[in-house]
Formats: sequence, C-alpha cells, structure tokens
Amino acid sequence: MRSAADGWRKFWFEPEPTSTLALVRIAFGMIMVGWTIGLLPVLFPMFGAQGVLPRQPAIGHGTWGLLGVFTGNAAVVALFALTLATSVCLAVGYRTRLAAIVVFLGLLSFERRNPYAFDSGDALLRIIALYLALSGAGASLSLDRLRRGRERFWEFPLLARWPVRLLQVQLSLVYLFTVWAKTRGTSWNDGTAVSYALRVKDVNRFPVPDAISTSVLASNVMTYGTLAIELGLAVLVWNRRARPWVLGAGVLLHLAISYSIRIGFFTLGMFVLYLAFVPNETATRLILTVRDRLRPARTAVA
Amino acid sequence: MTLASAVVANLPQSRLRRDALTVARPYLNATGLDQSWGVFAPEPRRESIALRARVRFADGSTAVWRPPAGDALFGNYWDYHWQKWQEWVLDENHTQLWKPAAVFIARGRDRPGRHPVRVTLVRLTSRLNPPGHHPAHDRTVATPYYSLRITRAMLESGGRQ
Repeated sequence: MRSAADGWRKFWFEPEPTSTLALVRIAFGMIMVGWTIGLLPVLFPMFGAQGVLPRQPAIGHGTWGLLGVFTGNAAVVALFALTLATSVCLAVGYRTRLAAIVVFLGLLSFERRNPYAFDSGDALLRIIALYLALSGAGASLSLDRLRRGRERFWEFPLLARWPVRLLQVQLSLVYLFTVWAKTRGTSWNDGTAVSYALRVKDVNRFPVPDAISTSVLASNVMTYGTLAIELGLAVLVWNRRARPWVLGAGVLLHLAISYSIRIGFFTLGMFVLYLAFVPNETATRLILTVRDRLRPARTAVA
Repeated sequence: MTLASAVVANLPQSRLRRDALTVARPYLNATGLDQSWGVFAPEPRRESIALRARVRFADGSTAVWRPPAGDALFGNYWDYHWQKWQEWVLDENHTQLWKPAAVFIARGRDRPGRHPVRVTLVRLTSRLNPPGHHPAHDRTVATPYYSLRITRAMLESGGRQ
C-alpha cells in the first residue's frame, strides 16, 4: 500500500527540470497564434451579432463564456485581439501564467459562442491551454526567466511534474477512447472504415488516388493499422523502449490524416501532446545545442 | 477529479455514464474539460454532404450560395469552421440553426435595388458505396429542406427575428 502511494506521489509530484514543459509551451503558443489568425476570416460570420448564430446557445449546465456576457461585434474583436496578443506572450513566455489563462479564456469563449464551428482539435487545444494555465510553464526558456536574471536564463528549475503528466495522460485518454469508440462500429471491424473516411468529399484535403481509397485490401491495411497504432499509442507510450517507435508511428499516422482530411488543428494539437513525452534530458540537450549553435553566429556577427 | 470526469465523459452510452455525468457534467462544462474523442467513430460517414442555398431576389432573379472554402494547404486552418457548421446545419436534429443561417445568407446577398425575398436551404448528398464497388459514389441528390421568406426587418436585424 505504501509503495503504491509512493509510486503515485513519484508519478505526479516528483520534481523535474522544466525543459520539456518549455518546449510544450513554445509549440503551443505558436500554434495558438495560427489558430487565432485562422479565426479572422470567420470572425463576424461565426461569432458576430449578425452572423450565422446571433446569440450564444445554451448547450449544457455550467457552460459559460465571455462572449455570452459581452455581446456585440466589439467584444468579438477585443477577444480576438487579446487572444492573439496573449498567444504571442505565451510562446515567448512573457507574463506566462496570465497569458495562458487569457488564451484559455479566449479558446473557451469562442468555442462556447458558436460550438457548431469547432471540432475535436479545438477541444484538445482548450484542454492543453487549461493545463498550461495551471502549470509553471514560464519557469524556463521564457522572457519571465530572463527578467529574473540574464545569467541564469539557460537553467531549467525543478518543478513538480504533474502538468506534464496531465498532458501525457490526456494523450493516452484520447487514443484509448477513440479506439474504444471505433471498435463499436461495423466498418472499423470489417476493415472498410478508412476507405469511407478518405472518400467523404466535404472533408477531403489533398487527393488520394482511387486505387488506394477504393481498394478493399488497402482499406483493410489502413483501418487495422490505424487501430493498432492508436492502441499502441494509448498503452505502449508508457514503455520507455517502445515509446519512440509508437510516437514515430503516430507522427506518420497523423501526417497521413492531415494530408487527406480537413481536420483543422487536431494534428498540431496532438503533436503538442507528443512533445510532453520528450524526456527532460533530451529536451535540455536539444535546447542547449541550439543555444551553442546560435552563440558563435552571434559572435561572428559582432 | 479532472481525470475521472474525462473518463466518465468518454464512457459508452450506459446507465453508469448517465448517472455519473449528472454529477460530472457541470464541472466539465465549467472548466472546459468536456471532451469526446469519437473521431470518425463509431462509423465514418457513408455519404458526402454539402450545403447550398438558393436565393431568390425581388426582381425574380436567383443565385446560389455555398459556404466559403480556402485552398487545401492553408485554407484547412480556417475553412474547417464552415465545414463543421455546415454539418450541423444539414442535421435534421438542429432545426434551430436553419432560420439564422437563411437570414445570414440573405443579408450577405442584399444589395441596393436587389433584395432577397426567399432563401431555400438545399442538402446535397452522395452515398458512398463500399470499397471495391463501382461506382465509388452514387450520383449527387439535391434535397431542399428549409425555405424562408425574407422580410426587410430580417435584413435589417440579422438573425434576431
């Protein structure tokens, strides 16, 4: 019993360097800049008072959002500008905690204002934003760190590992539940699901040859391959030796999905969760390598 | 609490899920942790769908509206909002979206001297045949499913009518 408690404590609360968390934060901040810019063409049609949904709908007990309180186009523009600015702040680590909170509020509020305009990728970004808002994501590789002391910028202070663990567990949950849901369907069992998914014209992105999308054999391979990779990611990602292989397979799977299907930011959101599995020592080494490569270049310029 | 709620939200439809969600749902909704990962599950769609709107003007002329779409490379990062909205507007269980959609479309086509007087929403569907069958798609069927007479008041006040 005691060892289980120790294991639980170690899993969630053991201090670790914040280099991995910094990579996650920077990647997420950059994606959020893109996500917010992506709202620009649909800002008034989707969220404006004279758009496709004039008022925020009631979609469930406890649901709330800033655009349900502050209505009108001025509020939409203000929230857009605020979300964009704080996304930049999050990426560079300026007033990081506050920036992460505002980014989360922006995501939540736009998604609540018109829930019919968003997909699973947006929900994933919202959840990541919440976890980062709760964490000390600006502890390293940030302007916040620089403000505390230039000479200690390249250090990675120790913090409890639970924010990174939350992101890692979230990745497992996504794959576990998607496999669970798929195995209840007929086409995922008879191996034809991917063929249908590739031929739904309204979500097609780049073309897939008919020889692949209508082939029974290719569909069987892709359907069962998808299930195997997703199940592998849900479970084997926790095995240190298997992790690089399942994450590599996951990257290929998501790139293939992103090539063929319009899924917005889902792939990029998943890749942020993948980053949470980069070991601290690898993240630290990577960051310091970049620093060392930049230093001679700066000296040469000087 | 957070993880337990996420697990509950993703359980299969069951008595356990219903009961647990009555407790967990407000927490999930309030924190933004509500989630569902049934992407293309339990079944991918067996048909391609598209929304079109026929706009008739006071002078008797007509026009066809379609949701905006960008290119495949970068357009994917903004036009998926239109694609998702289109799926809901085409859904017979979300009739509350039809009137504001029709009014929005009418407003976008309203010009001095050329006012829309009716908008008809049309569902285009093309059934997908199982892999290995020819043709891969059935022909596209157009089904008008909602029609709204547009008034001046609607054009002036958006979807608030």
